[in-house]
Amino acid sequence: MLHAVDADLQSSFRDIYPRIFRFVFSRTGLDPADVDDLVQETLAHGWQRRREFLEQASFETWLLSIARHKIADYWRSRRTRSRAADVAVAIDRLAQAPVPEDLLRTAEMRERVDSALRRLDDDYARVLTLRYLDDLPVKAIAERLGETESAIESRLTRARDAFRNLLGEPP
Amino acid sequence: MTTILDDNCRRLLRTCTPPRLTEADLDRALARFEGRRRPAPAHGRVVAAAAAVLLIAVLLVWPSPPTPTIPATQATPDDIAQLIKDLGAPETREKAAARLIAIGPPALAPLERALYHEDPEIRVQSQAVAKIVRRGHEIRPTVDFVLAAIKIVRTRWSARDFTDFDKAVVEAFHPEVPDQVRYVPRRTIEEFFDTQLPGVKMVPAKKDALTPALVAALEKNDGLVFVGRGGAPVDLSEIVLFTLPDKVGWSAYVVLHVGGIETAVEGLRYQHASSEEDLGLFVRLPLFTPREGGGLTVGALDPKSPLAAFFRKGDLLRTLDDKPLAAPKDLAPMAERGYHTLAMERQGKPFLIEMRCAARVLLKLSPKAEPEAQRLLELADQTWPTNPDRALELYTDFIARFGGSELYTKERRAQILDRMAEAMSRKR
Repeated sequence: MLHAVDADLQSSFRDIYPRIFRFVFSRTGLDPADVDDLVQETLAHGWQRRREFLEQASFETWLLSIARHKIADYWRSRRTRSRAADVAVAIDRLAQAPVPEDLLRTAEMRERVDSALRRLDDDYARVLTLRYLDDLPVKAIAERLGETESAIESRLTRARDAFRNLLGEPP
Repeated sequence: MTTILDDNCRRLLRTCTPPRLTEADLDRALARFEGRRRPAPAHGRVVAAAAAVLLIAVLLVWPSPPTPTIPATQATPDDIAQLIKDLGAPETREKAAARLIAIGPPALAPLERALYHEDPEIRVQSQAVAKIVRRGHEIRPTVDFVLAAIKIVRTRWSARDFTDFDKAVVEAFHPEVPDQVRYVPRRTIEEFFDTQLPGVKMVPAKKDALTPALVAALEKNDGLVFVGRGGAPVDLSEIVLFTLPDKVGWSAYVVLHVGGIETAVEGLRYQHASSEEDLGLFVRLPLFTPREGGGLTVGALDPKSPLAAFFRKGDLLRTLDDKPLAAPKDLAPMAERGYHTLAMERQGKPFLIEMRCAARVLLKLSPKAEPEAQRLLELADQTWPTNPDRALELYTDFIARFGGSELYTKERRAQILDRMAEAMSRKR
């Protein structure tokens, strides 16, 4: 991978950047522009120190370890108190009360969502993504997946419950 | 219940999942990373390298200020904050730096605060730009002086309004008189730059040659370049190189050596010392006309006046000791003992005069001289209502002989100077 980065930065970059971006995003409460700053710092640091990379792990793993340090630096500089307890309460009451806006932008909540989505059954993850991220109505989802509206409705209900349960489990 | 869960799921997925990165996002990130991958500029080397030429270029496009202070280019704090942020990205850095330099002093405080920015790139670049802004602010009055003088030379050149070109240049730059002027009637680009000026590399075999770098700087900077002793363009120097226009651009250039410029970072300063009487009379004369927009215009001076050697008809007096001059009475403090700073413009050239108002030495008159001085003063007072011209002569005689005596009190001096000014005004 190191040689690939040296030889063909463009293709390697397009492969590595989104993964590190996702990693940093789900562990900080930063806006995407600030996440990009941290990712850039990680990549620049990795590039400058690339000769120290011993190829004992993958280049991406090595970069992720740098990203972890950058995230730790970020938290050290912020000295913010943990919102883990507040997040746990909000998730517990997910079906009863709206999640407070400030908790949506915490690293704890992002990490829980990221972890839950990774563990969620693929079919459930797909319908949740189509419904909430792509903002498709049930009818359009049904057409796209070649199923009936009622099947999609019932899968969405199960997906929401599964997602809520997984959120409740610490990552 | 389902509605709340549905809404929460939507908000969680939209807010807590990373945004989908498009090809354009990746292109931008890659461009940014490629910029960072290059060695980081040591203390803003990239910006500093272009600074000399950029600074003059920016100063040239700024509108000339109506007062010695520099007007800020319109920019909101948000604009400045965004420009500082743009310094961190290689693709926007150059444009942002040029804009911040053009904004000038209003950008200085935010730039200085950026020393603590979380992005190390912005920390370095912002301090490099701040340095240029500070320097630009300091040298602006001197650059304005040179620009105005060059404008006079070019106007006379185009109108062929001179018989001796060197003399025309000296007149245009007065009172910062160049001690060497070199007119080169052709444009030559060679390897070396030879000004035939002291301290600058001499290449006898290639006289009159401009380096391609100097030609490029002249083209970029409206035909004006300050040249360092090594022959390269710098932001300010005592060696000034400027072009003379023709129908297709420029075909000749002038190199001159103006000794005071290199050190005059806060504007050209000249020193002048006068007595309380000379200055007292000068400020009382009806010579000064308030100008719309501020300042006093000097009228025609009596060639015999001690101050005629320094002030000229048409000079614009802007401020005295940093206080704006709006009416002739505002000049009165200039006749008080001590040091004063007068900011003025001559044919658009701003400069400062450090004026020293000196008092006569106080004399103790001898018992024999005192009655004579007293008699002379009484005679002048008596003559004043009927023959002011004669009274003027008597007062002048009194000042010349007994001006440093105890008889010449502050009140007496004010009275005599008022009368002298009145008499001279009647003559005019």
